[in-house]
Amino acid sequence: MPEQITDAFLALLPVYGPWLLGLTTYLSCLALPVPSSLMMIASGAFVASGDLSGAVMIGSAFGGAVLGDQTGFHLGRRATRFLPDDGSPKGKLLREAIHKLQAKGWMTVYLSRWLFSPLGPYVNLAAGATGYSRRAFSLADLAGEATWVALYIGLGITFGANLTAASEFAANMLGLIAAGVIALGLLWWLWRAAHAPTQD
Amino acid sequence: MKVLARLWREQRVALVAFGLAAVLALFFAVKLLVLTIYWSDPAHRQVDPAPWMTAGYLARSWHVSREDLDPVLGVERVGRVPLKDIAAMTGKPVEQLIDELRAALPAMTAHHMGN
Repeated sequence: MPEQITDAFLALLPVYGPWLLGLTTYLSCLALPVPSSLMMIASGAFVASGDLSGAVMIGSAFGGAVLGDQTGFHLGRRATRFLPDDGSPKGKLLREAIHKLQAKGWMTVYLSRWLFSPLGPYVNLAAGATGYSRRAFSLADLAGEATWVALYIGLGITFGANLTAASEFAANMLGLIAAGVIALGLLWWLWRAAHAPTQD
Repeated sequence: MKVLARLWREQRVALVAFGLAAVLALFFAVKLLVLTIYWSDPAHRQVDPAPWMTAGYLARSWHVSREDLDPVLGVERVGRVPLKDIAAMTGKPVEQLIDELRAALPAMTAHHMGN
């Protein structure tokens, strides 16, 4: 995202705070390219500087995200023709999402809210389209979005006096958690393989 | 070692993937540590003023009180208004206001820290 657009978003934030943040998280859950992570960090910073209310900003970010996910789920339910076709990069992400969803539904929904968030919008569509239970989806979604919002607004409150610092922290922390989760998963797989009876 | 040899034979892809993920995790951990050390110095956290920032935001970043900024901003006790709007209120270009802030902030911080 070009710097001017990001700065324009940021300048509107202290003025239209909760509405703008809610709209941003809503749109980001529909795979639209809005700087939602940065906006949440900046909101946290404005909460810490006394410009905006913490409860209101957390509420609007959370509300927007959950509403966006429900919209995506609903779209998936209603119309399979909205799904990107198999050949496109988005189609590939979608197929990956369907595959993951069938294997471990709630975990996929939960982790795709915050840890693997680029997958989130596609998991919503896939969950809706493949007939995943709305109740199970919503529960995992609420927990996941709460994690996402708490993480970024919390980072903003703590480190937001410098957005570069906060963004770098967020990126590296999520990178560490993601790589760590994958490494632990593979370690578990290898441990089981090492204790299985020999193949030859 | 025997276990490793067996895994290399039977689970090569998983073993290599694990190695890569572990190296990546280590990389992020080291970077996080470096960032923590760098950003824990208050002087590194002072941001260059930008049009989207509010008086409160700048004051927090530079460890000064909000009221200290009033003489430079030319307005008193302004609320959640970005610098570009403050500049418009006082009838000067935002670039000029930012230059004035850049000049004034380091002295204010030094004063606050008791130097």
